[in-house]
Amino acid sequence: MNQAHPIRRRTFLAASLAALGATTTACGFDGDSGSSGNSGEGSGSDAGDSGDGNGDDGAPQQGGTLRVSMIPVPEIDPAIAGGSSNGQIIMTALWEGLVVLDADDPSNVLPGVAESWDVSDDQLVYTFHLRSDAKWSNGDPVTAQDFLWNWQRILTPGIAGENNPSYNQGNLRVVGAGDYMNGETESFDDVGVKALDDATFEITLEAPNPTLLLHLAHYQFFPLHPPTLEELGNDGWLTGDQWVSNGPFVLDRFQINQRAVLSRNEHYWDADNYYLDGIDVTFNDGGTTSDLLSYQSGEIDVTGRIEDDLEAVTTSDVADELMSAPPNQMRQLIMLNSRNTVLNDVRIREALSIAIDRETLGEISKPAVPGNSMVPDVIEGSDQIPGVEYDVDRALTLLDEAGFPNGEGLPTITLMDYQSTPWVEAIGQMWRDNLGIDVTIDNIERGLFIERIEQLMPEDYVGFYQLNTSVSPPVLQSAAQRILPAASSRIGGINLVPPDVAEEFLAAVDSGAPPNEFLAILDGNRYPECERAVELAKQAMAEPDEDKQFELLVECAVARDEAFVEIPVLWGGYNLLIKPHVKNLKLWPFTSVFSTKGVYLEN
Amino acid sequence: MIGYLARRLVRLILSLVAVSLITFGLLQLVPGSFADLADSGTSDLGGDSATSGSELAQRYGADVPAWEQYLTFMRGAVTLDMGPSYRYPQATVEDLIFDAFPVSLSLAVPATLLTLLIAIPIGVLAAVKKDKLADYGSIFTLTSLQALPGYLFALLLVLIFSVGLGVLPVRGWSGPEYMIIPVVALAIQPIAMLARYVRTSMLEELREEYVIAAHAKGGQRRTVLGRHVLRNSMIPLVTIVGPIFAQLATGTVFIEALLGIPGLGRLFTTAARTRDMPLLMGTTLFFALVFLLINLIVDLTYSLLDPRIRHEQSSSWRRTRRPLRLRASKSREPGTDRPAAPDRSPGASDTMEVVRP
Repeated sequence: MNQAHPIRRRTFLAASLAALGATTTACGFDGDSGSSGNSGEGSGSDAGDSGDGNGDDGAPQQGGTLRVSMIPVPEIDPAIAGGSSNGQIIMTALWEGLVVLDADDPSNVLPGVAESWDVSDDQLVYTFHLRSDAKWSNGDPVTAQDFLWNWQRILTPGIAGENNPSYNQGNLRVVGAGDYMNGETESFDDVGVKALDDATFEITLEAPNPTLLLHLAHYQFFPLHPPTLEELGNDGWLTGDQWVSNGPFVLDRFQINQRAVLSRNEHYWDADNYYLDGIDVTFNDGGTTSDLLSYQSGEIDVTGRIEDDLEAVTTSDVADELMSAPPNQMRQLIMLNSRNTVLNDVRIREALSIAIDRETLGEISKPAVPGNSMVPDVIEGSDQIPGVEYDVDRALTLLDEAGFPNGEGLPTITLMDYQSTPWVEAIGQMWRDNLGIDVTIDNIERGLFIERIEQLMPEDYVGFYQLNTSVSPPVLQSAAQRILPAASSRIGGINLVPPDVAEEFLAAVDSGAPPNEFLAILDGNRYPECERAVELAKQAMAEPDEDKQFELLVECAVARDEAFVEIPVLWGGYNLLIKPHVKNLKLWPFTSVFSTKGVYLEN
Repeated sequence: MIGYLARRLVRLILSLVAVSLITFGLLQLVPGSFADLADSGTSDLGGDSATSGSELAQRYGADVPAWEQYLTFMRGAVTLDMGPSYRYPQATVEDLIFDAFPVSLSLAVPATLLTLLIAIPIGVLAAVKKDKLADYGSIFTLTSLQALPGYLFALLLVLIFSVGLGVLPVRGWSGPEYMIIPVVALAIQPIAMLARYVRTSMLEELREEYVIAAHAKGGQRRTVLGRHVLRNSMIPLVTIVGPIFAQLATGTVFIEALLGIPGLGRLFTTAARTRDMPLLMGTTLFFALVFLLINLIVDLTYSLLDPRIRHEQSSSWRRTRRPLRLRASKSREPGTDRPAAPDRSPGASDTMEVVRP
């Protein structure tokens, strides 16, 4: 062996090992994670400023850090329509809008930054009076101009980048907001939001909107701190060192895919009703198993990261710590538009719907419950909506009437899904057993799924896709709003039209026609049962009289159920595992799931 | 040497361009755009498409043709200003990568060191005790472990040390104790693989005449093994340790997800799942760069480890050559195992030739 450079080689090896070792120090942990330990024990100080004392378990205890685990939150920008509730949980802790949701009454709001508000007689002008003690976390007062600045920001075209903007004109109906957002008008003066003075903010609507206040309590209308945004820019404010917000907590750190650390904002006007010292959020995209283990070994207090395997939770020893919000979500089958029009006969769809044994599905889908209407029973008015009943005999009669006795002659029905869903498989089996028809489950990749549900399916592909949606906020208006044509550009479901109209519609969409043009193609061309539901929704939303509107909304919901283009299967709420020492945490049927007001940790 | 390096660098850049074109091309073919998927909000907690009305609003950048998007991105990649990610609009692609890479690296380095520390002694032992219990036993154990997926092993470790004994955290990334389970879980397969390579390579060398000569001269067994045989078995070792390290350093999807480690693997899978074009392009290019650089380093290491290997100075970079191969100095006895080909890794395919003294 050549011994010419023994030292050089040895030095080289030693040096490389040393260099490798050195890099291990550069690993970027969370850093000073003093709070990640046993903070659940709380830090003592039973000062217990009596607060409102509405906890069921005696006087609230001050202090402690709530450790929450959730799916990674990519951003917390009020201008961006977030896909999940997890970001909204964080946002609700950081900011406060003009009004806040009421954990005890989901149809009500409580004063937030606005301590009171007046509504004009025609229900079109809302005047908010801001409280004088509303402060940013740097001590500056929160002004009406700050809210105006934020309204302009979320309406700015392109503000959400590749994401969807969060503002929805159909839900809000603020004068001129839709036009400004679409770039049809450049003047923000034309938009119906005004700061009359530092403490008075005015919103003008183009039509009465009883749900306005519920919407205003949502994340879209949380105020960012204008000077900070102007200094750090639109993409630098979240992970930067500088943070100013006006809610009960401030953000100390936000590390993407890792964690968010929140601590108390002592400048918050209602700080006395918040008992936690901080919230420590860890992000987990590793599935239920790892969160369940973490929860069981006491590393986290609250987790909602259990949705993909609830069965693992309901069969574990912490099953009784699983809490569900009142159900405002529906798991449903939505009809695909196909060139094969056999399912366009409403009798066959009704037969399919009433041949589903929802009680049995409820058993296998806990904590979800059987759902027989597109309006879950948490919503006021749902008691007047009968929903569908399991009735195999009637289903067979209907098939017979439609010309398919005992299901003979019906094509194979496909259930399209982007994941493996037990209740979808079970429905397939029920249809096979009860109606004698062929059913296949088509599990496809999610991107493909998203594309397919907007397409006109070929002759040999006829059936439904599964989807989970919610009625948000949980009132009848939102249910009706959902089926208005502006809410969806799809040709399936409630917009079921004959194939030739569907082709025309898709061609118009492809050619880049403006929405009102291609949506007009659907009007009058839907199948009668769908047309009726859409027509009733339009009437209801345009009805100024509250009682009459309510009647129309109920009628619309019934018509929608009877169109059988959307087949409700299960109702569900947000499911969280919550440690028993976390007190007074109330889940509500809103996308923000809960707020930490009044929540405390028991020693 | 300089010329060789320059040629390698030019090829590296061309490879990167090819990688970017292929990735971008595939992205155009994949169904569902970022906006579609963001719009659908189908599966998360409270996932809700109540916001679908907003799709009537003008979507920023929807009309930009693909080739322009590509050029814009590549311009950004060259100037290290790739702009914000689609999914993480409040962070730029380079920030995301530079935040996640140290995390992956800090698992990859200890895992690689652990691999070397365990695999080499086992491999040597197995070779020396060939066909004895120690050989069969260690190789059987290693092969079994290699068959066990890393994430399953990680879960096993979690169940034993976190849930059972409560001595280690289940998941998270807040301090050195959080590294133990992932490092061990990551090292287990490389250990098994490397130990078998070392064994084969040692056996190969043990058959060489110089070993017999060394023994015949009365050389101590320890010296012969350590100074001669092991050292000469290093080439295949370096060849596979490079790629092992690169693979670990670019993130390990399952283990990162399972144990809540904010490394590159999660970033990459999220980007792919959500069709986040800038982030996916950024991470793919970064992965390619890491792999290419490590292969380059591996190749350069050969000449440092074995002075007999010299980089050919005169060949043109266009000329494709056979991969690195040590010229056998003598024909092998028929019927003996061939070594696990030391040149199988992509790292070895290069313009080098071996000059025998």
